[in-house]
Amino acid sequence: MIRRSWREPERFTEVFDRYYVEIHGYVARRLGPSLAEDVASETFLIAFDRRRRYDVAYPSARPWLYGIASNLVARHRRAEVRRYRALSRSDITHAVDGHAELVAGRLDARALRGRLAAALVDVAHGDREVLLLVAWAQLSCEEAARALGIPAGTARSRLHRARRKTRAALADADPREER
Amino acid sequence: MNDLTILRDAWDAPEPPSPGEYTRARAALRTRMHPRRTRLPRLSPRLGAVGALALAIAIGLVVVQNLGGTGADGRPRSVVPGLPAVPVASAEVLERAAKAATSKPFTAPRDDQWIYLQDRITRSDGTIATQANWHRADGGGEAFMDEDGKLHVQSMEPPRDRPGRKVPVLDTYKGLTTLPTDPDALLRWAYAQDMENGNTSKDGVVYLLFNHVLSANMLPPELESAIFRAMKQIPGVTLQTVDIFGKPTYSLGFTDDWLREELLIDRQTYAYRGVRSTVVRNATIDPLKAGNSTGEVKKGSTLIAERLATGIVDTPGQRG
Repeated sequence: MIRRSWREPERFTEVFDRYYVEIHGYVARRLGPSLAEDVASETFLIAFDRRRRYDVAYPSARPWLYGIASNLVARHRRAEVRRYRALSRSDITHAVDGHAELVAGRLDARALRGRLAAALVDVAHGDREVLLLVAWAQLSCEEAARALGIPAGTARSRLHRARRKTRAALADADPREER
Repeated sequence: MNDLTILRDAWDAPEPPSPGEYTRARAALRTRMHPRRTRLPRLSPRLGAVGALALAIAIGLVVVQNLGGTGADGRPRSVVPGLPAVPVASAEVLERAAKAATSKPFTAPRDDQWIYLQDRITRSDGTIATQANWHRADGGGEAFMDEDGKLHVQSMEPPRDRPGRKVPVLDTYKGLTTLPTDPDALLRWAYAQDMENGNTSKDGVVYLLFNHVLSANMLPPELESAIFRAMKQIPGVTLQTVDIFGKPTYSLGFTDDWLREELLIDRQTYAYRGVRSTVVRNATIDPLKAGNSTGEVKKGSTLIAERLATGIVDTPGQRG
């Protein structure tokens, strides 16, 4: 699709139609809805400008678009952290209320958001990029590496570091999850 | 559930962007794409956005007339001197086009050579643009000339098959040479591809695929010939004579809802001449597909991509 758009720029709108909602959703999770519009829109403008640099050997444009979006999100690092912090505070009450269920192991993932958000605040920015591309964008670790322009080994160790923190947060919530 | 799944599920699915946001973002992109152009209805020249179900037009032997009308004696009158105004069956025209494709001299490009294509894009609003593009036969690079005459070259690693990921055959000249050149086998291949284009029927999608392959490439003659022979078997494809490029030209068309796509073939040489897209009725479609805020497309709007030149050259920028 990108290759066609390369020869026929008109085609790039197909890339937009296919991925805009998804990219918007990813950015909205990280930065909230108000910043998502600008960042997602800008992602596609940059992608269009750079479409000739896209490696067409890869059949999907997804990792490439996520890479651009990640770089833009990085400009709003503080807003992102503020958001996780707010989520961790607002969800704390909920988590405490659900303590009995939590202990019984019946609480759904939603109730763990506060703890995870608090953990995300502590994860280093670069580690968080890989973690969220894998968890939220559902890229493979290799795709995340490619998206961020880092070696695959680096991405793996970043993911490993980040997951240690999220696992620790979850282990606090339910001792049986501990590994 | 592992920690990654929990992390995913802990957040609610994000709210989709509002239609307003979507339209604004798309409009911003289109402005970037056409910085000098005013608002236009979106016409998809090729496999682009097409509307609902294709109109089912009868297959087969469509009678073709010269555009000269009828003479005083009641017999068809030719507008082109020397061209007999006899009805021509579409099967026959396509057979001739197929034969013409294989009878012209052709030297296949080497893997490291570049295929040069030049097209003139004419829109019914009066905008005209000439596009010059090069792509390396093995997919190892692409180039284009911008409006200021500056050449932009991008060399790329020639795509290779990887485990579980084959390079799509349509992406390179090299890949296209692997397609069947037996028309029936080619048609079976095309129908077996997992492709879709909105609500377009399978026949319409196969038509658009061939239309696109012909218009975006220089093809090995055996393949071009096989495509012409395969196309005549697609239900709904019609053959007409249309007045374009200042002379009667064969048009191999397919109408899908509000949009008609045509492949244009020279009446003398049976060579590929270009493609045309025409809005056949006023329609209000998805504004996102129309590329404007109202979603209106106007009957009679057209986009023509006329092939001006092709060549095989050693370096991008050369014109053969």
